[in-house]
Amino acid sequence: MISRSRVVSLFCAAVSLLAVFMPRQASAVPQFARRYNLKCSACHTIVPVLNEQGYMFKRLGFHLPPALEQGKAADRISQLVQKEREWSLTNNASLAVTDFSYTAERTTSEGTPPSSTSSFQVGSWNAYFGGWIPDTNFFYYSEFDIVTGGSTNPDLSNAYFGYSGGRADSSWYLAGGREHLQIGEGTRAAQVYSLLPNSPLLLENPSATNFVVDQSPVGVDAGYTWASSGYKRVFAATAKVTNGVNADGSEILTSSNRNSKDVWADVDFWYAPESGITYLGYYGKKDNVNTDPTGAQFTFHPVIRRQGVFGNYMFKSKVDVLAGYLHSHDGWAFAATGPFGNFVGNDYYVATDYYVWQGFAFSGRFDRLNQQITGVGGVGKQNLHDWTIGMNKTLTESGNIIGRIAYSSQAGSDPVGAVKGTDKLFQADISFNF
Amino acid sequence: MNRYSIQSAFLGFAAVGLLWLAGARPANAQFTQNRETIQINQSDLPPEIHQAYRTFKAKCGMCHTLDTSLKPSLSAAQWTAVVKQMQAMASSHFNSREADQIAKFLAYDEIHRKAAAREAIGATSGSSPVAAGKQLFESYGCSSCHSVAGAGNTASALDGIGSKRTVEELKKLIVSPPSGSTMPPMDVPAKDLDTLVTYLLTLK
Ligand code: HEC
Ligand code: HEC
Repeated sequence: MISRSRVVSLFCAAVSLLAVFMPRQASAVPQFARRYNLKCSACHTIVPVLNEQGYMFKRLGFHLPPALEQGKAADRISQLVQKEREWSLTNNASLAVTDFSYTAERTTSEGTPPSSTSSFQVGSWNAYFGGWIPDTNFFYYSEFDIVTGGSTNPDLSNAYFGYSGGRADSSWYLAGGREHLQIGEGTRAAQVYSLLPNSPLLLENPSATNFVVDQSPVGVDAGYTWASSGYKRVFAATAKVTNGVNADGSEILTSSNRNSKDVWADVDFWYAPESGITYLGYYGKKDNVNTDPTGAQFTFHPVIRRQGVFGNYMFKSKVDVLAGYLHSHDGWAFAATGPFGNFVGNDYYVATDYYVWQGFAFSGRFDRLNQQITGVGGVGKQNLHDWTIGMNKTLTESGNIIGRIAYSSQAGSDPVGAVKGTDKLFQADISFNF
Repeated sequence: MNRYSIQSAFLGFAAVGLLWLAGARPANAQFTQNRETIQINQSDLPPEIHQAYRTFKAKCGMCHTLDTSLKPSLSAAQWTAVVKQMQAMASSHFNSREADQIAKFLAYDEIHRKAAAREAIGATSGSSPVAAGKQLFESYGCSSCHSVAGAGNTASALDGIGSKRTVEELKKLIVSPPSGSTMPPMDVPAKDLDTLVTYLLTLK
């Protein structure tokens, strides 16, 4: 019989191996840390999750938020610009590589045989170029994804240019280009990036119209940010108008008889250290492709709406409790000439991140998504739920190398065909950012 | 496991390794900049300062290394101001009571460890003021903001300063930088200031 200590040590060996060989959506821009000689933890709780300082950094056009001391006038953005380091390539470019990942997945779906896959390593390589134009208030940011999910699939996921003005405690910016919604970057619970490998369902799970909140179409946005002394309270509002992609995020390649337009609004309020609430609103008219009962494809133009409220509270810099709610309401067509209906979804999530110490955290999340397509031909109320647990550990003092393990289990049925399915996924990865 | 994923894993690994080996600045800087070089001997600290040190260690090492605070020499009033400034940064989480504790530790460290280190410099390199000045440059933490011949913080290089500035100008720049400067006035006593400037003048 194997002794208990042997089992424990084997388990530890297995876990540490996994900790070293771990898919992650990398998003860290270490050139900024390099620029100021700071650790990653100056702006992230654990990469890629931003803390309040990282959030402010972004809102100030990629300038370090200065101390806001009571009774002292806050620096103007143009003064922050003067204090910037000398421009250099290494302070403006960086690379994130997620490698050595291991995933094991088992999916079941009614009417099809279950499938199990495991793969060692799904790599992702992202290159970043971001910074400021010396001696001006102009800033730029681009993210080029070279390898995604283990295959070379070059994609420019972000490329925008902006201008910021005002003072550190009352600033504004204008930006344009190809940009993720998250340039507005809601407070913690509304961020697409979490400590777990997958975002909450409500942010990234395609709805019946295949529309996900986190898309990166081309457009312009404007933001205003106010901060009290010591950043005890921060208020921020962002509006964005974008154009150009189908509901599923793909480019409109064939001729379309309508434009795709999106309008976004994001209002954030940080009310306590590292704790904030976000309201997110979206309205859009998009091209969408569907299949009618005869199997023929047709294009229709649903109106798509999203409204969400997200909030988190950080207890004693240790325990972060997060929750989110997102309501979806989209037009739906069963065939080109009707009948027509609506897709209605309500998503709820709750999560906790427990930071054992700086750079080491356990996380858990429960997510439930209720969906229904109304009208003749709808299949009634369906739901999907997901729970995920995970662990993150930084492996260097700077915090730029991170190991992670996570397990998630999803079950439910889809809103279009009411097909039941399950998905169990184990993921382990390691990411290098420099 | 398919061939492409093996290939990209291998390429990823090779790229990380190559950058590392080549000591390429972008790769390396991240690994070296955050190393703590100064060790505080905790057993030497009186109990109330020991507690203050722990608060300092927990609160001041989150965003940058402790070296950032353990290197430069500032007066007690300046440290109080720096701590107040840090307290007003986004994402710094300590209250005013903790801020007092931290300032107390920093003032203590200034008159004990830092002073002793400078004393030792005077004793070991008495014969060469330039050598002593070079050590004082380190000891006063000038290198956390400045570099000489690429060593230190290259954001502000002082190479060639000796041919740009006179003795009097240098002294003034160090102890009372022009208003609006991001350099804090450095608390350097006259004797050390002479030695330091002697060294800076050799940087031609
Ligand atoms: C929330 C992050 C954060 C925390 C916590 C923090 N600092 Fe800083 N510190 C910074 C930043 C940002 C800078 C400026 C870097 C730059 O502009 O290059 C800085 C700069 C400094 C400097 C350099 C001098 C200066 O004024 O630019 C000193 C000294 C310093 N910090 C000491 C401390 C001490 C002591 C503590 C603990 C009380 C502390 N820091 C806590 C973020 C932090
Ligand atoms: C907290 C960062 C910091 C520290 C510590 C610091 N300096 Fe500076 N120093 C600066 C900056 C930034 C400038 C230049 C720009 C300015 O005045 O804002 C500067 C300017 C100077 C200049 C003038 C350079 C010129 O070209 O005119 C000299 C000389 C100098 N420092 C010497 C020193 C010495 C000697 C020490 C140590 C006793 C020291 N500094 C410590 C930040 C620092």
